[in-house]
Amino acid sequence: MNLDAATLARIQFGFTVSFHIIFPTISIGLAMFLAIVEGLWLKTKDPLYYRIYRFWLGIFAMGFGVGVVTGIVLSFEFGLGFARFGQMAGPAIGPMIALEVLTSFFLEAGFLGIMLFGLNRVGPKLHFFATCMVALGTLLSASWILSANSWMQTPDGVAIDHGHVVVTDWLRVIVNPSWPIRLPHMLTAAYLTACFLVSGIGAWYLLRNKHLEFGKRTVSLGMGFATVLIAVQVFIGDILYGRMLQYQPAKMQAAEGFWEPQSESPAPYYWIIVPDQESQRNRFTLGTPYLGSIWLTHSLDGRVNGLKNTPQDRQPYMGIVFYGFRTMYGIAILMFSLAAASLWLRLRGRLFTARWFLRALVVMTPSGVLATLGGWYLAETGRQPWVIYGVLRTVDAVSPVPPNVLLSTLILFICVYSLFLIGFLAYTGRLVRRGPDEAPEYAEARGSLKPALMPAIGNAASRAVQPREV
Amino acid sequence: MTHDRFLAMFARVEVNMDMKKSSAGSAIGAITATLLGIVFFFAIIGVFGLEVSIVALLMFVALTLLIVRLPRPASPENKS
Repeated sequence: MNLDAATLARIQFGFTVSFHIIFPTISIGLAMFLAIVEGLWLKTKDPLYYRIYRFWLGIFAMGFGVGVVTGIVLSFEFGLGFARFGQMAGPAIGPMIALEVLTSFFLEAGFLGIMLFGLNRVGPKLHFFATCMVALGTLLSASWILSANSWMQTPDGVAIDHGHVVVTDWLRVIVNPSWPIRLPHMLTAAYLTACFLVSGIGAWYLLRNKHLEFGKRTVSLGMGFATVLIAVQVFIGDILYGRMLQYQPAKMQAAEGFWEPQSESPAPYYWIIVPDQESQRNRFTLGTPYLGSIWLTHSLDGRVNGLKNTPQDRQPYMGIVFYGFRTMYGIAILMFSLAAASLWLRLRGRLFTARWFLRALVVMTPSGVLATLGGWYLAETGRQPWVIYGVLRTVDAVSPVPPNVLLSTLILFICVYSLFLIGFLAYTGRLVRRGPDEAPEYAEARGSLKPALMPAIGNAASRAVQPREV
Repeated sequence: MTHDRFLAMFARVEVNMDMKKSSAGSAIGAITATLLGIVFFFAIIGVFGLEVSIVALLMFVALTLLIVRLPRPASPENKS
């Protein structure tokens, strides 16, 4: 691989955005989960909901913090790696990023402090309101970012004047053709991520025969919501597939792994391929006969369009697009299977005792994050070679900076982000090991990560759960 | 073979038959649930068209809500 400025800029942005997306996905999902749990606590007065809230509040706070810090970096990277993109598309993208700050960041900043530190300082209803506002803020943030990203996927409402974007219709820029489907798809993905995260931790406690009531309630809540959400997600995903087939056919051609303009009939559904982009063929394929026709053309003998329908210089790399899609879709199938199994087990009263099911939930704990990453790889690499689809190529968007600048900052990002990841995993692991009974009464504001990363010590074990009066 | 031993053996055979019936019933139930899940998945994903997809989604959500809200008898695992 030739490590020129364009390649390095893409690797750097790909790395930083892949790392970043993990945390908003978790915090968007957990914020909604916390709002629901606190609402249930206020409604039922059941102290178990309060324990669940306190436990997940700490993990939410850590994820939220890492998400904000790594998100800010992305804005700077537009300038560092993709200045020409900023010069051209700034009039459309800039205001949307600014509106994200003005609406969601201000909302989150205003209420996050009350949410994290106000459990014993404000009334329960005001605290619940603060939690709802933070959840709304994360939703608004996702909405603006998805609007900006969707505009890059399906640009609309602009004219190009002397190499610059001129907005002609703001409503069409914001509500561009792919945004109304991509936004619910992303939000549902975030909520599903939280459901499987929560269920996985609950199942882990049940398997270890610890914190049984907490484990049962979280598994029940998590899988109840997950069952509804995965069905909705499959439905939205199919509609988005149709929309992308219409606006970005090359992406979906690459996602299905077919090269020839028309596949054989009936078309198989490939699970594994080894594509050879240069000779425009697959070296190896493994698939299920007929399933491609049934799923993709909704008939028994339909043919699927291949990537040779797109000129070679406008094709995305099939391998990464294909496996991004298969990761997301494969995990969605597993989630649907587990959700259906949870209904059956719940009906038979074995939801909390079927060990194979609980083990599967533990394995699926990070599944939402992995599926989201797969989906974003599909979306972003499938758009290539364009950064603004059909308008600006990625190679033409790169900043005129020497490759060694991009390489050195990339190495720096990898080092710093590794520390973030270690810190997040260590803190979360410590909270999970300590269990819900040892969750702090409110988030601890300290100037150093050191206390949080130290092993649990005796004084924590002596704390008892004292839910306050509602 | 004494009368008591014969009765004990008969009781064991009966229990085994009950267990087999129960496990066969459970297996049939699990297979039916799996097939139902596959049909729901194919329908929701749009294999039978958009209208069927919407109906299947609504039915699946309704079924989920029904099962989640179904009152369950107090079994050892449900007791606090």
